[in-house]
Amino acid sequence: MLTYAIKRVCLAVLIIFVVMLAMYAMVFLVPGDPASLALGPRATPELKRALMERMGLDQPVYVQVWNFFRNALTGDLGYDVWSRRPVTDMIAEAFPKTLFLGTVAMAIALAAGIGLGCVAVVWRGQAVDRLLAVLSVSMISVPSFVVAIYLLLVFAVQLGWFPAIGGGEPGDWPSQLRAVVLPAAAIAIPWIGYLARLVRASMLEVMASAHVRTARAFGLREGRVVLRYALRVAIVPVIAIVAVGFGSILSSAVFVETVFSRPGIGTLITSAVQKRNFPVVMGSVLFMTAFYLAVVTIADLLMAKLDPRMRDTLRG
Amino acid sequence: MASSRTRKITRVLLAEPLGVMGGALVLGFLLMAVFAPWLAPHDPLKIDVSNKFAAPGLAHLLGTDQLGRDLLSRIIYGARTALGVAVTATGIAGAAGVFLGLLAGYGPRWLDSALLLCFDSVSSLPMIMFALAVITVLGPSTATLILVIVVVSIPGYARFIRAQTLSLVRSDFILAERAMNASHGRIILVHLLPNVLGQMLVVLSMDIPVVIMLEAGLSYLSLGVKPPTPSWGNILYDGYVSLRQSPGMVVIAGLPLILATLGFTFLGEALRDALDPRLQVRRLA
Repeated sequence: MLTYAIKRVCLAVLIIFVVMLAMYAMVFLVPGDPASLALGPRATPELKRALMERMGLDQPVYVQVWNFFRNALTGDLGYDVWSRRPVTDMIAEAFPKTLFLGTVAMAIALAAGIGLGCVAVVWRGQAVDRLLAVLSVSMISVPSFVVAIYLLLVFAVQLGWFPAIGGGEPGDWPSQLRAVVLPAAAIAIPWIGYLARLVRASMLEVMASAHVRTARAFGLREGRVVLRYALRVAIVPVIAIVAVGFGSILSSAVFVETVFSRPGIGTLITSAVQKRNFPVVMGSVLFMTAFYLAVVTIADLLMAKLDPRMRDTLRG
Repeated sequence: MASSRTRKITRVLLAEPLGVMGGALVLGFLLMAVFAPWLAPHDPLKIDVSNKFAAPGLAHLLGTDQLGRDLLSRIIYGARTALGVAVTATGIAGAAGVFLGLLAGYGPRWLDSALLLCFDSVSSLPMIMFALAVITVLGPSTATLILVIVVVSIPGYARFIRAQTLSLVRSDFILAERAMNASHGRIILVHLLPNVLGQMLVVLSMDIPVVIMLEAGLSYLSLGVKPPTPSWGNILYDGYVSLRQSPGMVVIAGLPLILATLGFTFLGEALRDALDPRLQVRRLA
């Protein structure tokens, strides 16, 4: 187990290293330097040189790469080109908001997805089950930013039940909760469909097992068998998926935060990309990649501890 | 034999009403994309500010946008952008994925390990984050968009082909070829390639809605296809910005995206069910 854990962590660190090197390589392979791209065609040479210096682009490539990694390890991700604020501070401010959005979205997805999955199993093969199957596929395939805009139009603009813009007043929990409902729902919808499908499939497998047959033989009602005996076992694959799903939830946050003009890592990165604010993009992407890899690695280790067979996947 | 198999697949497909619906939608969007200049009632770029936010009517079937451009024509040309990007990107990524997958599965072990590390590095990145990083460096354009989609899709395809190749390499008929001293080129081109291509096409077709979504999403963030080129993402953004003046526009602008992703997904699911022999037995029984 320990060897596996060490291998898994080393792989994650190696991946981050490869990714950052690849990103740096890309910057130097493209014609034109990031400084003139950020400033536009009317920049004076002095302005350009000053910005190059601020971005550290005047030093040799290997020095830049070395500095970036050394600073990143100490928590220094450089400075915003325009506002000169430390990127670490900007991320520290934005990330909790995105994490909050993601957590609420995941909670909605789990509650609704597991619920619908159970409903489908109880009435399997009947009209409700078939309807839910179609509904799940539709929910999975519909783009979350389109859903976000429709939700915004109906529930914020037309009905006025929820705010259309922002993340709520700082420190005011009720207003923050009201502001998170629509964006979280938009992010959750594909996951509701996905989890409903997964729970249904996993439950059907469990329903055929001996302990469920025994529960039935004791004459328990179907609903009780499903909730008390089958769900407990069927939930295991869901936990594995939730960890990996967090990465994709954070990705949809990029779009959904923009639709609702919510402060968060998504709006931070999007506006930085639009302004070609290079250090902010690099810093945030590095941070998000590291966060995502950490979550996936921890989930893998947990699963490996629970089920030794999973350790083999590293070799595949 | 081939024709009876085709007939069987067609029968299974037609028995699935959602598959038929998906197929019809996909066909509709394909026709839109191919015949856009003949189908579009107006020039999608023609600005007529005096006629902005026109309600749907006889002159403009779906109304006009904030610059007075005909919405229906923009959506029809948008199909061209969406499918053009999707087909180009999945095509290039598929070809590269097949090549690298065969290389990893058939080549020496060290090459396999090196390629796997590359695949894992790319696929362990949150896709959108990677796309945004590349766009910052290269600048937003249709070409950048296609490049990003190709790079993030290759690992999945290559891994899929690699797994297929590994199981084929151990099979008896490849062993027999080897015993007869067949060259590596012959084994790869004549035996491995035809055996992996069929399933690859299904995998590729299932990915088209994802690519359509990514193109629209990035264009929506003004990081993909540049305006005024009609793209469903740009049209949706125009609708979003004028949400309060003309709420109908954003509703219409979202529809092609929803219909196209649903259409491709339903068709893909039905195709997969029809091609998977294990499912077929159960369904036809």
